[in-house]
Amino acid sequence: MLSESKLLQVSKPGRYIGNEINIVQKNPANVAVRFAFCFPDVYEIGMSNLGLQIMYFLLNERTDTFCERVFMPWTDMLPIMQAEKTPLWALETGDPINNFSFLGFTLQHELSFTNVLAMLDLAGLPLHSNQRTNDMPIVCAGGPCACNPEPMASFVDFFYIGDGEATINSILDIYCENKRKNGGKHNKQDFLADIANLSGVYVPAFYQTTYNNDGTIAQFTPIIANAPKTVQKTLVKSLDETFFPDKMLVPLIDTAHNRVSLELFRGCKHGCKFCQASATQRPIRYRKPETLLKQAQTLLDNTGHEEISLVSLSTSDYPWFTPLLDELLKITAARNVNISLPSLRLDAVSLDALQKTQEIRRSSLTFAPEAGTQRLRDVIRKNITALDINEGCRAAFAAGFDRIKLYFMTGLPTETDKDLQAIALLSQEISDEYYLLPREQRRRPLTLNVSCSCFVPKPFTPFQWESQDTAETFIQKQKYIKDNLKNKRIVYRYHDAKTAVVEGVLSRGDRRVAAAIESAYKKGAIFDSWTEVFSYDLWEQAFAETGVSPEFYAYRKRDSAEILPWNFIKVGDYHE
Amino acid sequence: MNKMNREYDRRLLKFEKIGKMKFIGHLDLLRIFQGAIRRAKLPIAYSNGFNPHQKMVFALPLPLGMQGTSEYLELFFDKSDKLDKLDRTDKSTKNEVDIFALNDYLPTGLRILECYEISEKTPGPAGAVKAAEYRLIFDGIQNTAPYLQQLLASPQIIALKKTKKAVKETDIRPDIFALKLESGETAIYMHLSAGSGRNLNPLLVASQIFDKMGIVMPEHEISITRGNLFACINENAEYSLENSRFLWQIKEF
Repeated sequence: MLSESKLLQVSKPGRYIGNEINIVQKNPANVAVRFAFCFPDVYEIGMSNLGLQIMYFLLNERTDTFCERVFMPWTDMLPIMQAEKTPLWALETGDPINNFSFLGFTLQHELSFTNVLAMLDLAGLPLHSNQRTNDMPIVCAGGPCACNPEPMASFVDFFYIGDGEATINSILDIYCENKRKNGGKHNKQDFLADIANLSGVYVPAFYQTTYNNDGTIAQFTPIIANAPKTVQKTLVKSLDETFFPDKMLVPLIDTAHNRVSLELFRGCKHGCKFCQASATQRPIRYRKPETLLKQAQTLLDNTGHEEISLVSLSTSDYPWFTPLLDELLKITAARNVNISLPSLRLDAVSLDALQKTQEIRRSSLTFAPEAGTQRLRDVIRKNITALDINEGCRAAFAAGFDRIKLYFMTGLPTETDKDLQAIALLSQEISDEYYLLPREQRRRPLTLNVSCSCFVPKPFTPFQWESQDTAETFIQKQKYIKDNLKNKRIVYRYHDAKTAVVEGVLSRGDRRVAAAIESAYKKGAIFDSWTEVFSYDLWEQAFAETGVSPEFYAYRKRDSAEILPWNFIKVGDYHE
Repeated sequence: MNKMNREYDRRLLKFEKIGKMKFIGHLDLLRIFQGAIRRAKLPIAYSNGFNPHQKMVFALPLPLGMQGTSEYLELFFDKSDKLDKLDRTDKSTKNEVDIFALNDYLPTGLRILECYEISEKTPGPAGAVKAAEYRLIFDGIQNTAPYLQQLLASPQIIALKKTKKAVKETDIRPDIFALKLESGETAIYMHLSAGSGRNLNPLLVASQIFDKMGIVMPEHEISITRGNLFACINENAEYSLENSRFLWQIKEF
């Protein structure tokens, strides 16, 4: 790692020192597997990720494995590392990661792909799988974006698709055996062949793609016997029986979410057609209240956190929500701990919960109608009516909320001007609803934030064949909504339309998209999800140079018979 | 008990913040102590009100980048006979609540060194701090001796001092109580005004030395450790080395 005086030259040096509460330390000489858990974003984002916390302690449960953490250094650190010729290091030992057994990346969103390349580069490793030798780490990648692995296929040795806890131990057992057989050094090719048929494992090098003249995929076929024709995602069947850590790493600096996370369930009973998480996390699996309450106590004891958050895709859908909350409140009240409820629907159960946890005074209510008209909400299967919205808001206002955030999407299939006008109308109606409250019940003026994102069709969703709006169309629509929002008190925000183009190409890309990612990275694209760093110019040049066109990958409507790049992966077929 | 007029058992902790912990800023340090106190289940008092927080006061925030070997933190506990009553120098008694247990919950580089009982009437340590010692280490330090003499001989030293609003020319000489090479010429020792009243940043003194030497030394190349914090013996007199005592002696006030 870098010398202390160099660390004093960057912002937030606490990102780079490790030393956190509950950090795991082992003697690297005593383990067979050195695993670098690589998070391709800054420390504060990565340390807020529940998946990282679970995998860190799961891997370190193994006496033969030492899992350390690596985050993407912020832009002010990169020139210093270059000048000092300091390769990327792991926080636990400060050792460079280029001789570790594994680098395991988590792909939380498409806009982190260039950071994966940057981290390989900073580690001093070749970007492409086929250029890395047996002396170098095996590079794997999992997380939500692994469900369409093809754009990153050239860079990654194997993908891990599905729940992190499910297959990782089998993979490491096979790795240790491979290393033993080869006199203490892994043989990558043999290892990959041995794991190729495990549930959730996809080794891109064992598959070949051919293309039609129109650019669509003609055939996607395995080229070794052990590689299955379809890759089934790996699944944890019971969340009560699977591993859950009894502690969490507690960062020394403030992070995005510095709190205990309780995962109530995986999956979502609502089938909103745009939602990739609900499409890929089936079936729905609940943790029992007893398990959760025990975890809550242990984790609060072992972290000293002042906040506990109930996380899931739609928290108030949890079947035992109210009894769980009542029991949890007993635990938290005794410890001066706050409960936060980040993902609620606007219903009576939720409002009751918000009142009990006193969230009302602390936070704003976030609510996602997604579309302005009932027609469009029906199209996207967002199971909520105008009546629900208005009554929900009325109840929320009566309960004391005076800060509301509304989330909408623009560019949804079948959308017309009327749907966009309705976003403005609905926002105004909600504002009006607030001012119907008697004056003495209004502590201050309503804060109403309306946020519009750009719809990007995602693999495995019912909209995976749809066309995405161009950046120009998005910008027009964003302006149209703004013109319709006459109320100056409503704060209107929208996502960057050009970022959506890149996200669109990467989301539904095939193997050929890798060339554009590499080209953009080499031109300087990193931290694409950070608006202050993102540069569309770099991507535009990369698309032009590599022939990867947004027209083909993002804007084009697919035929239902087309072989989609992710067709060989099975994430669903779990009927509830 | 009347909640508005609570009585507390007060403890003044002396701790060190060294090694990697020098990269952690003051607000983060506060949160680290809060977390450790919760994990150690120390029965600390919480403030009243809607958002209760632990009652604790730091004597003097340590800037990010500096190490500290004698930092101070005051903790408030609701009156109880379970609390460790004595300075830990007396190892013969063991109470139910052992403040030194906190050391098991602090990250490497943070450690409680001493614990002092302070009486209810004692003013807090934060207002009492008048001066601090610093030790600075950098390359070429052995050449500084004549320049330190020059500085000390100057009746006034005009330096550009940054305030929140502007940069102001200030005479910093009255805030320098000692300045010398020590430890076999490996460190510069400084004894300077510190606290909420007069305060002099050791880097400002260092920059005067470098100016006189005609060299440029980037701030991050200077290693700084803050040592003892001092209060006045006689609160009504100006601070001077003769009128100084260690901050922990505040308990005897």
